[in-house]
Amino acid sequence: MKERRPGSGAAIARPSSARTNINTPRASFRSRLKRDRHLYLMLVPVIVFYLLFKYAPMVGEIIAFKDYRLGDGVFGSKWVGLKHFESLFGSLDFWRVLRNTLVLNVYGLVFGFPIPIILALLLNEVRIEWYKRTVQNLLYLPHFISWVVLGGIFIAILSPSTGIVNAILERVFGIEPIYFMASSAWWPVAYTLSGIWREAGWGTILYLAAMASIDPQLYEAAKIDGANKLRQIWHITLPGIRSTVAILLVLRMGQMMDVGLEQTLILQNQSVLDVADVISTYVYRVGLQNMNYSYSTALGLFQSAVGLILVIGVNRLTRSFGERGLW
Amino acid sequence: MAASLSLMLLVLAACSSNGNNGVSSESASPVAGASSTPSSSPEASEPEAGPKKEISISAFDRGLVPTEEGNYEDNRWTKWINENSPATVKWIPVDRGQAQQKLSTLIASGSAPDLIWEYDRNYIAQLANQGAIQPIDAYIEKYSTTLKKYLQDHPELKPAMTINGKMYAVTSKRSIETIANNGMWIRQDWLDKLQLKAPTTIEELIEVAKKFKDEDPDGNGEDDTVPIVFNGNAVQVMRAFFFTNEYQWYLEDGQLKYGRTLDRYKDALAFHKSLFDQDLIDKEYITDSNFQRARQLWTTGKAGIYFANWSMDNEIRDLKTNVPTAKLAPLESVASQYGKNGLYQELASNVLIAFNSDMPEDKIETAVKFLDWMLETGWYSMKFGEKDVHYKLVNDEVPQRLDADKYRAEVAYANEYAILSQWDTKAEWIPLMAAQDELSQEIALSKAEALTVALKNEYRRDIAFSPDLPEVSQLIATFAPISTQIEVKVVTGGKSMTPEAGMEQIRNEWKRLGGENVEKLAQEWYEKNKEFLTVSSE
Repeated sequence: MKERRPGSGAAIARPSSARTNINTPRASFRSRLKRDRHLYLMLVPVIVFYLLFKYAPMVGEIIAFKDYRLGDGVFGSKWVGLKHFESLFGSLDFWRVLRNTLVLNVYGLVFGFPIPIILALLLNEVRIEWYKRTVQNLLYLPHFISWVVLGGIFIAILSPSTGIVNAILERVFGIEPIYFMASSAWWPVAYTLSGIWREAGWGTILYLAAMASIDPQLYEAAKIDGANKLRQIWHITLPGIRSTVAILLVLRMGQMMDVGLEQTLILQNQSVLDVADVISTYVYRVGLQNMNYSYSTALGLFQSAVGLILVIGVNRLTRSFGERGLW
Repeated sequence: MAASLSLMLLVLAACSSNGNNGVSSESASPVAGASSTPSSSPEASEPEAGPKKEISISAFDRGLVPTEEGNYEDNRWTKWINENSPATVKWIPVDRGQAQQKLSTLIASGSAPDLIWEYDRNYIAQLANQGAIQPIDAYIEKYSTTLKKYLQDHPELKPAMTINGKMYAVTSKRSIETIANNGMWIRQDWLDKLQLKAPTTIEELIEVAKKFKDEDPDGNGEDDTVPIVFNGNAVQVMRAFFFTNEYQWYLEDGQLKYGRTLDRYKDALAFHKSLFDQDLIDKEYITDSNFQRARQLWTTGKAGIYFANWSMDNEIRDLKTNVPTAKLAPLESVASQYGKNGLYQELASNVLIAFNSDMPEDKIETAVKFLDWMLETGWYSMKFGEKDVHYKLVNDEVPQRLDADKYRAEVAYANEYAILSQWDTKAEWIPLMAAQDELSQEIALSKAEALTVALKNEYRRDIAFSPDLPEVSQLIATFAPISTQIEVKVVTGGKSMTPEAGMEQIRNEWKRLGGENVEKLAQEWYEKNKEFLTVSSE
């Protein structure tokens, strides 16, 4: 726990005792293994879990290079080389769903990522305990409601005839009602907002935890130096959660190629399919419904590869900014 | 996504070897198989003519089994089947909502049931193409008695069971109330109040709808009525007026053409658009993707015509509760310039039961005998329950429910096991079979009428099934969302897009995605499979 404490000097604060009494790395491993065997034993199930359920199945990725048939199985199906990748990159639809996926994710990143941070900063400054707790609970609530329900509420709120948003726009600004959910321009915005509504409150938890671990003496010192609230946030709170932000950003980059199937299926409708058809809905329709397992695995493999490149790239970037990154 | 998909397949592939071993050892020693089902031990201990073999069959899990009854694998009916049928059956429940995915997963893992069934012929055809199920012509010929005769007597079932020229599944006939599907309802009291006649052509339909909109049919002095509301079938209903189903292939001068690319389709779009432009349908139907808004308009008495199903007990009951003065009539399909088409009806075939390709012959024999038994006698009890406990016979032929709640608790779920059945309702039986209270009887009477109306006009279907080629389904999977969006633009776009312009775009997209080549393939497929594709309505 000590090592992981975020904040300015945390990275250097390694316990030195383990280093000093062991000389060579090999000896260190053995004697550590012996000394902490119970701890390592407890780790075994986790390692087995990962090998069995996360690594072994990767062998199944070979069906991306085969013509998989249910009757022939993973190993019995015949090899076809890069056929599925060729038809993937040759298909116009692929580029369309890829663009849509990226657009939704870039919106999500640009607007969705900073909001939990801002919310956490605001919550962190609230001094009345009951008020803070009430607000927090209200913010967490949508996270626990299913998309089916949230989607229904969201569509009703944005309805041009009965929705509150259009009613306000009309009364206050005199704007003609806008059919947000049926407009290809507005739909991605609405999609992003619905995502923020559901997840932003929940996302504050990690930041609040990071803020709680900032040494209160720093704030006292700042106060004595005459720093006001904004200055304190800028010079103490934000640097204090910097590494948490960096890690969450790296993790977020790994999802740049994913869009939640459930949220999309519930919010999409016939008139916005040009912007709402994303990789996950495409895989569902073409891959699962038509049993093109190899094709959708090829698509998934591509998706994962891009995700991995993004994670590594951004990780490098964060490290070059002096943060610890993921590894 | 890739990881999870391949995880699924691989982990399951790993289990598959175990699964197969298990199966072969069971079939090698039937005694071991019998002892492996402790739940059936009481019956197994009874002296029987030879040990029964075990077969496994999929069952849709619709969450209908009450806890006191047990579950889909073990309840009074599974026990009853094991006591009375020539096999010991292990039922494998699959969640109805994800049945196909679940079944495919079970197949990939080698743990699929021996008999796999689905309503969707396309799915069964995919399984055949994937090598997961086997042709069974020879086995039916060799082992079957009742079913063999039944299938010979009902040649109209043949197209459904035949894939690539071979019999890959067996089925029985649907009862007429499940053949009838789409339907329309109209508020008779509104028609009476405005002194209108039920519309018979699309022009009259539009006239009636306009009056429903403007002349305050509910008499509350407010302009708050929506003439026409939709459920999920509505688009299909509107297209049917013009003999074009979006997903059907039509024979035009001997050439197989896709419904969405036909000239008639333009007229169907124009009609849909005119309803929208004249405010005769809910302007927000696009985002009402689960049709709850429409249902609410209907059940609160704000809507005049419902493009939906022929049978809508709950919606009608809710409406009658909210608006006791409402009077309803089923509305017959209306004629367009192309004549009068029926609304969508199902084909004669009921669930398609396919045989797992891993099944050895001795198991197939047991399964065929089981199916014979099911078709001969088994189905009746599972549909209606026990005589004088759950039903009594009226006029010696119509099973009338004795207690709706008891039936729902103890029998309703057993329908799932009656995979073959010879039941055929007659419209006039509906009131006899329904509960006897006044409202139920009123609903049942209108339902009986609706069933007759729904089946009055033949629904145009040129070939029994759409081409089951991978190229075709691939194209349609890509084309459908693009075309749908263009259609929505035509309907909702006002002057910005005419039906003609929309039709041109649809055809261009069809061409761009390789539609012409697929049409050629479909035509070849048609020429080759012609004899199995004839639609015979009896």
